[in-house]
Amino acid sequence: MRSPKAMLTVCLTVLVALPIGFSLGKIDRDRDKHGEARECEPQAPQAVAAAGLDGKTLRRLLREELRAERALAENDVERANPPSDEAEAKTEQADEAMERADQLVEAALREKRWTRSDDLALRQLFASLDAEQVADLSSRLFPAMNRGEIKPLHLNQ
Amino acid sequence: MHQVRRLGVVLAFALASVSSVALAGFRSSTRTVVWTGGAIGTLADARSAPGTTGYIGCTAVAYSGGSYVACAAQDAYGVYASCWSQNPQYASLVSSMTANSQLYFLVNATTGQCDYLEVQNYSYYAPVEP
Repeated sequence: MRSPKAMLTVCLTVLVALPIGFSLGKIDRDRDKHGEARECEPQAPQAVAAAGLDGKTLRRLLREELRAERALAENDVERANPPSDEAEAKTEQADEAMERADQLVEAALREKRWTRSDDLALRQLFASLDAEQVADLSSRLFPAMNRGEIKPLHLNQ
Repeated sequence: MHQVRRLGVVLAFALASVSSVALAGFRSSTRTVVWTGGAIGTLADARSAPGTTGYIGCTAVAYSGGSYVACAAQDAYGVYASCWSQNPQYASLVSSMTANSQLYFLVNATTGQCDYLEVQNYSYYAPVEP
């Protein structure tokens, strides 16, 4: 004959173990029913907690996963839509324009003068450049003029 | 005859009024001041200043890659200042300039960009004349 204390322990164990066992069995049954896809679905908080993941870790993992997915998608888009010939030609034209504009500014710095023809040539080249390239050239040309390192002669020469 | 005399008096009064109106009002006349960090002056005064080197003004450009503004000034002694900007607000200011405008700009010494641009359009600034 067991003691009352031992009996109470057995009863409690049965009471706690039965629902857990039932729940685990249900999860297993569901997994069998719907296949592996079910594993990728969001898990219930209890299950996340059971896996030892707190909310912060879960969010981090989700962010990483989303980032990876996005990177893959972007690569796919690039592969699916390679730059057109027209776009490539435009880039090539912009590169050439930037090179010529760069030579103009360098020559002005060397010769310490900015003539009317330099001014007109640069304006024409600007049309093929993007805002960043124009800013780069202007940041070199204007301060040099203001410091007197390049004399602006573009009004009458 | 009486009516003709009366008309003459009215006309004389009207002409005198127009004349007094034309002479009224404050007129500003300043020379263009240019230093390495900026410039201030009216288009009219820069144009009518003695010598052949002085000027002040801005250029607004729009192109496929964006928009661009450049302002520059030079005084009678050849002191020069200029700045540029890709800020559309500056382009909007430049488009508001008239023949009566006074222009004031400050230059960022490192980048040459316009740190400040001001356009004033007041009646007391003379309009640009040929």
